[in-house]
Amino acid sequence: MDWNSFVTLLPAFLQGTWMTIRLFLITLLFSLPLGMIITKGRMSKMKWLSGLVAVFQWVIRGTPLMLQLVIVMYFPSIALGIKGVNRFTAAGIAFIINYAAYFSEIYRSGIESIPAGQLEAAKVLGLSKGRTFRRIILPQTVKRILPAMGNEFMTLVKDTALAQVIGNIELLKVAQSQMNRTTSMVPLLIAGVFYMIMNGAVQLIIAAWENRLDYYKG
Amino acid sequence: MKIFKRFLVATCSVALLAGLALSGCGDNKTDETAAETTAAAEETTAAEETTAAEETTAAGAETDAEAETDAETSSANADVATLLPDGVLKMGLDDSLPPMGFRDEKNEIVGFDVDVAREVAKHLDIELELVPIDWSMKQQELDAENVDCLWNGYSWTEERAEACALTKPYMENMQVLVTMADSNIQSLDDMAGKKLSLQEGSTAELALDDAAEFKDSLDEVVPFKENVTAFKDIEAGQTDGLLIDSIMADYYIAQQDNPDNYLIVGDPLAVEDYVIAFRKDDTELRDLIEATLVEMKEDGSLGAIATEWFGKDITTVGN
Repeated sequence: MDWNSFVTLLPAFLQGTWMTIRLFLITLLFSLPLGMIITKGRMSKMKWLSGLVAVFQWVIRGTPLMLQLVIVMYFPSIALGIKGVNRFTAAGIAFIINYAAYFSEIYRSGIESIPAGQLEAAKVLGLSKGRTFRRIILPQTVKRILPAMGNEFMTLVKDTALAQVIGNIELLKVAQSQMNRTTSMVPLLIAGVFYMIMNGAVQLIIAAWENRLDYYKG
Repeated sequence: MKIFKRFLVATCSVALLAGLALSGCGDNKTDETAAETTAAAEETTAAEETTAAEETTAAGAETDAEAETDAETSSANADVATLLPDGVLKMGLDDSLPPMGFRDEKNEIVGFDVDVAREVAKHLDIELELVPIDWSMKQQELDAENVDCLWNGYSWTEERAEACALTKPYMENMQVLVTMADSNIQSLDDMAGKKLSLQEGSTAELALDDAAEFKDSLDEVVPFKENVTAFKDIEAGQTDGLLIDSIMADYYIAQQDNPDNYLIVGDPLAVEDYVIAFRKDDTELRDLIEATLVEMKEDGSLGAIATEWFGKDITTVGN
């Protein structure tokens, strides 16, 4: 593959990249809040609810994302007769549920790392439960879970490649098609560079955010 | 008691999961407008394909003119209208299977099967929609009615004939052994104790299972997701031979700077037929496409496409 053929292929790679970015953003948009709801359920004092949520987490985290994609895509049409499932929507739903399950446990780890003494102090000072959570617990939690969340974000950028199993033409799929035409591995390397650029941006954003929250230093 | 409780919780959550999946799909249906933006990408690909098709295929107006000149299509058109109410044939294909169906340097889907399908669509005065799918999901795509047919170097097998309505063969294909020329492997027997690579889910796997003696003589069988990686593997000397469709082997070798580095060894392990698959109950549509292929063989358009891709008419329609 020479420079000229790379230039002609650029639009195709960009189109694949655009799908990857959209899937990334939509997944975050919905799974970040959904994860919070799952955490609430998991930390509920009602045993049946937290048990139920734990089983949900087990099912989602315990099975391959690829399998979940296939189920969301084909179960409705083959088992229930609902035709015309949109490929991108199906991928979005599977990614949102999957990532929300992982996020929920990271949230829980963050929330539970806040010493109980702070809760007691807030109570003594007369802060409402909601206010305690929003003003005391949440800011500290965000700071503590940020590195773990950064890991997940970067994994998500790469996991979007799985969307191709249900027929989405994302970045890696574009590269694989071109690899088969050119019978060369170079398209794969190009895709690798695209992923690195995207994840470079994610890493910089997370680092900048961490820096901002680093209020105890300097 | 405790076990029972846990069982109950497990069942509930499975139900919950199913519910989630369901409601998701319900959303998908009702949120059609919201999904429009997300669908846009697919739309673009589709649009792009139509542009690609411009010279060969039927953009609406062009076909109308075509239909007027083709008096004989009128009876077929009546059938088409009932079989494909939208006037669109959705062709499921693997877009990384040169030369049958693959992406060209502009990332548009081209190939022998694609050209033939376009010609069929032209004959029937319908539109062809190319749906690139993950090839290992092909049966699900067909059953889910996301595609109307599987048409992309699809070999006849007994299992496939059970599961789908297949056309008569339109081309012959062989499973051949490819080795590096300097490897001193001159026959299938020379592979004894050696490592063989192949594409998983391909009919090379089935051919190998049928050739039990050859399979048992091998040291190891290494499956790859697609053929280019398998080729790279024999080039790197990790495996000694590659079992592959002869049509794809020819394409790959012709692309190389030094085609002489490769050797297609001895007799083919198996001879297969390429067919087109439709849903089991879609026999009328199958018959229609089959009849159109016979028509194209007779009027020479099929032979012309084959000559363009393979240098001669190697199709077996009507034999």
